[in-house]
Amino acid sequence: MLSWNRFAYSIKKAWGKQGLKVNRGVKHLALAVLSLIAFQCRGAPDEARGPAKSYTETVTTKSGEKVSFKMVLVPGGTFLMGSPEGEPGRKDDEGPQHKVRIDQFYLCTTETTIELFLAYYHETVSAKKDFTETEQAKKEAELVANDVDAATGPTPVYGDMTMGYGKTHPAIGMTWHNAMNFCEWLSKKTGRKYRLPTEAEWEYACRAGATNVFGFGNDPNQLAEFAWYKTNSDGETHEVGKKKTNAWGLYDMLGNVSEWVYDFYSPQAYKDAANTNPRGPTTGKVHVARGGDYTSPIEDMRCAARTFEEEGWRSGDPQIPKSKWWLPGMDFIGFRAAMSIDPNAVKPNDGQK
Amino acid sequence: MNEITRKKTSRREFLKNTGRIAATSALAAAVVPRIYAAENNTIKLALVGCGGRGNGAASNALSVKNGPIKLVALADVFENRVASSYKGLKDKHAAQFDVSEDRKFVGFDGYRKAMDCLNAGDVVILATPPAFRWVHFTYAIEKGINVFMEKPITVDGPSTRKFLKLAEESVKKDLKVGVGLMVRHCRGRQQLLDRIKSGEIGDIVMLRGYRMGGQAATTGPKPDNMSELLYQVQRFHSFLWASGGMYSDYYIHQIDECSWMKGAWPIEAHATGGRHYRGNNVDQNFDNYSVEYTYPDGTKLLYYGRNMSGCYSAFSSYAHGTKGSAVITTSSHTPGKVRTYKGHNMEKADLIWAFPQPEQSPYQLEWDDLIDAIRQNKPYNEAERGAIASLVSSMGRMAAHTGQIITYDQVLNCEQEFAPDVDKLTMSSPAPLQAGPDGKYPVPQPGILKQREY
Repeated sequence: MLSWNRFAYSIKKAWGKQGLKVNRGVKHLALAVLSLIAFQCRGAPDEARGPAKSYTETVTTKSGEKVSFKMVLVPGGTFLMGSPEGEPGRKDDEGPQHKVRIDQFYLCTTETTIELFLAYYHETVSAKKDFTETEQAKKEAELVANDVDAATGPTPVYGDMTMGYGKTHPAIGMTWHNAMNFCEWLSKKTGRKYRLPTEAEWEYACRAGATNVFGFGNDPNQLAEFAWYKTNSDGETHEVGKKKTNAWGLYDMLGNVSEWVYDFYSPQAYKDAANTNPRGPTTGKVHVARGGDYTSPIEDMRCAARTFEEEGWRSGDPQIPKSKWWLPGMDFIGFRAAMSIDPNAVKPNDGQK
Repeated sequence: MNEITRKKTSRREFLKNTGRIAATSALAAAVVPRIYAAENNTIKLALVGCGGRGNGAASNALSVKNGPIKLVALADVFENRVASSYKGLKDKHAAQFDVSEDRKFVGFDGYRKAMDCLNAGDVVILATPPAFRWVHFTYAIEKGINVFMEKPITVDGPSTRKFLKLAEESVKKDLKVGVGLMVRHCRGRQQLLDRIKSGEIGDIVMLRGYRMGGQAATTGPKPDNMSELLYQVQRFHSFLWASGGMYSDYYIHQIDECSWMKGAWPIEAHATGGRHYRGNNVDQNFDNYSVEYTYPDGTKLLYYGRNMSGCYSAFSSYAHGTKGSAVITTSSHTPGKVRTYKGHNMEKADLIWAFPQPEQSPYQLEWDDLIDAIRQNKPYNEAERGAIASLVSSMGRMAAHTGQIITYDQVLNCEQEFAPDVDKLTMSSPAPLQAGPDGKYPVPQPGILKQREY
């Protein structure tokens, strides 16, 4: 703990020297409250009147349970992606800062919950491979093939997917591929185009119009009001939506779990990025995760901080080849769903090989 | 030394026994010449059993950073398994990959050929289904080769009796033997044990373990293009002779870690279980098991296993003492996130201690420890405790499958040996288990078959 206090102190000192104001968060809190009021209108998006400010999606599982989540409209606009040189904790891959134009889209107000991810899992988990050679499996496969709602699903998880957390905690330990597959399932289930946000969309939504370090301001002392991170998490994830939202009504953009985004990771990604709706490198090995998580120190909690799948994320999987679907024991990685409005906007499987 | 009596074991005796085992090993080390300690020597590895876990173990072995180590041979009964290991491990560890075409072996005798590529003091990874463990271990001991073997290492009483003798021989030859109960190498669990032994939660009066998840270890009927024997080897979790079944394969870790924390092995088991949702699957497993293990001092380990999709899932173990409680496993094997509490509600306010995060992977640590012991020539032999962990797993399974209370001595001296001639199997052998006229394999019948599991 001592070293973290020392870090917090030094980071504060560094910001102090730059003369940044530490009370700006108060203003943003007021904005957040106003935004929340504005976002109370419900109902599905209606193209004729322009998209609704928000809507609630309700999924009925095959066993008849209903699970709901809320999507808010992220307005289109332009922002400066990346961090300025000299921002405390900055890494080289956060630059160069560049202007990016983002079309409007919807983003889930919370990280995907265990409850919703379990619904997906129970509906789609594949029969044991052993069974695929049998007559019954062929019949089952035909049934699945004729069912428009059916999506392919993950292999059975090793152990317990919830890792002991309750259903309103964020879903965890899925690979990027599994998160993408969830979005396809959700799309088939609802008729809407759910997908992962792109890295640019994610940062744009996290900043919510602000140009400061954390979106709510520059003062790390305020982080605990908005985020679960190393200092206040008690070493575990927390129920989604328990902290303050950012200015656009989004919970836990920083902290709790890191969130998969659509893009492949490259430290050079910003050098020649598209300036409108960028979707990252077309090839790569690992994907980007954003926002920091309950284990993260302050410097990884910045809007611009980037992380990506490291080899250690697979170390809880004792097998080779590693599971395409699961990152056993990795309870710090999750995601939230986005939804396209513009039919020409990025689709879940565009671009990447 | 291998017999467990009903005699009460105090903490002092626990410590004393641990010391005695260490002393025996140290003595053995003193009389046997050093075989393989020089750090400039390259350790050669052979992988016997090229499934996902075998590959994972080989990769962990090749990731040990204390001197040169390379993979020289692969063996499996399935050619496609050898091919996928070859590709996967070559891609990942190109610089340490030295498997030539003539050191890829397919067949039930592949283990001999693979070990023939090694010298005394090298390491063989035994990661086939457990049924073959004693066969392969016998040859490794004969050749003076150090061993890493996946758990479980025995499947029933008779194979355990064989194994305990082999374990003694391997100690006499000062072989270094690692058993894939990797939780024993988790630094957090090791510190938790120290804290329990120092009395932080008092004397342990109860342990609990849970392994509850979706459907698992099921198997459909044999496809036409495959021999009965190879089908059963490939679906080893489904057949008791090959693996000890899902019970042994899934539950051994937590039964072992709880007993480790307790400082004793259970002396009897009382269990229930049944098959509800197996459908047209033909495997021999139950869907659920509830087991009460009794330790020599009368305290219990309650173990709950369930494989039913849609039910509450859990993968955790706990110790309860006279002064407090401990989390031994939070969820899955790693990270353990072990911690201790005052009282038994395990609430944050009552936290005494928690192992700092993040943790190292125990799958890597078990290899770091083994290779270090080989290079430093330190006593290191987990074969006996691995065999006993496997036996007490069989004890609980047998209790559920027969519907009887089964003691340690009963399971150890049990007459039913699932596959006595497993050392003689060839590609054309009949399978150790035969299906009935309806195409189904025999399953346990608690209360009807009381001495045998099927």
